[in-house]
Amino acid sequence: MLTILIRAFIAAIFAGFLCGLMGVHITRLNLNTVAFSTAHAALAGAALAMFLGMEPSTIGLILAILTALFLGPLADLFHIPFDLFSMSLFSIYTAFAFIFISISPGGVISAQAVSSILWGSILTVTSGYTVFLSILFFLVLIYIIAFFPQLKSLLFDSKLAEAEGINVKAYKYSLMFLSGVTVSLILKLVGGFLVFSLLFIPAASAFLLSENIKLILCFSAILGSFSAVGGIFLSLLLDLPTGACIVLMATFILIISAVYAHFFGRLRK
Amino acid sequence: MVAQFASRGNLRNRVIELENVSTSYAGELKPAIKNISLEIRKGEIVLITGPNGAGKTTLLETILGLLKPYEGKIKLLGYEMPKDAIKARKYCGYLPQDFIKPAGEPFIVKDVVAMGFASIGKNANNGNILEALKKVKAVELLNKPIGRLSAGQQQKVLMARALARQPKILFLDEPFSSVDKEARHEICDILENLNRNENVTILIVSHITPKIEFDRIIKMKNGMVISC
Repeated sequence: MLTILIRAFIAAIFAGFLCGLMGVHITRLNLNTVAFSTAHAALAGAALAMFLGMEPSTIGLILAILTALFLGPLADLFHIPFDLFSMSLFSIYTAFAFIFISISPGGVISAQAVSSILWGSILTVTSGYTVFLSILFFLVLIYIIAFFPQLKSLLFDSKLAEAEGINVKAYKYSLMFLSGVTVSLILKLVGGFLVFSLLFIPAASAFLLSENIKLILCFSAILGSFSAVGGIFLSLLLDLPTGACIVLMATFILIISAVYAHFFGRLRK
Repeated sequence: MVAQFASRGNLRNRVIELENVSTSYAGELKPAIKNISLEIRKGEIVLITGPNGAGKTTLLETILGLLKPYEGKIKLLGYEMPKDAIKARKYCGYLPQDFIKPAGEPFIVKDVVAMGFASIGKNANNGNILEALKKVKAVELLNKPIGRLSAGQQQKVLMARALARQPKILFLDEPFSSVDKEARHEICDILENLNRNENVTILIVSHITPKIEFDRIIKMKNGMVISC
């Protein structure tokens, strides 16, 4: 039990950091819907796997990664606004998930398995999962540090960045891909319904606390991590679903941030 | 047409060449600019003027490769556009239309000017950031959040960002629209000095005619060049 808990807390720290970092980027670039479509791709993939009698999370992860990889290029190829395309995929994946769940043999058992994807569970956190999450964390960190001047320019104004010779499409696609992979991996811990909260609430808190993009990224990552770890504690203490407790913790931090910003203003340096 | 196109001006001095270029916005059948051919030589200051909806901004964005023409050829500094847009844009400075950031933007002026270096492989340091701000007489704004500046001050900061890149061509889209008369004169002086001292080609889109000695004024109406 102790090993499971240690693994869960380590995974929560990485998950919080990842969500905090990606949340700021996708919020500034109006790519929020990438989280919805990839999370539901994972759900549809898991439902399909259950229908076929295969391992749900692997198929879910593969479909989510493929969605994150091709979402941007396909939207551009067909000249469809990104948000519209992303939300259409979200609906299609949801429909497929329900269809596969309803026609799966032993529907009740399937629904129980799906509920772990919807609500998340620390019991699903394995050593392999934690290693995978830590690798993704370091990849994202290296990516952000290596390309920070270009990313910063993109976060300020993507049209201006494009006019100055920055390959905006390449950066947007790579951010979409990293966000998609992050979301699909974190589903296990937080669940499909609540993964968005860990992505957006720490970012919202960080935007309230600072006027400096570097600080915002740091705050968002730290607050994301704090929300995830605190949420797991709360979940164990009150015997409530992990994902919901993580969201409650993130919301509590958001309220404190809003109160702080109201009375003391936002940090500039 | 091509022969006529090639006969004018020294080939090496041409920095912008357009040949029968037409562009339309995605999903629209009507072209925003139609059959435009023109060339701009190194060191020229050119004004593109005309009423609202004439296609001035579309022309500027098409030259920069931000919009893809459905017919015609464009060369910017010898690079074929929009194919080689990323390479060509590294030598350009750009000031977009109606660029006003709201309060709360998480960037200070120093950051915004430094971003100008992000695509040209040059390190941003305090020295070159201050030098660029000095050119637009805005050194005192260095550590101010961009969203708390007036429209005119924000224009100056973006101008400093464009100048920091030491561009060969400067594209300015309505740089005088949100500034008062005094700031307008200041911007005109900066542009004339830049052109005189550094031989930078300047392309200005404006519906008003500023007090600058232009080498050429291109008048547009209904997506077409009516005089050049």
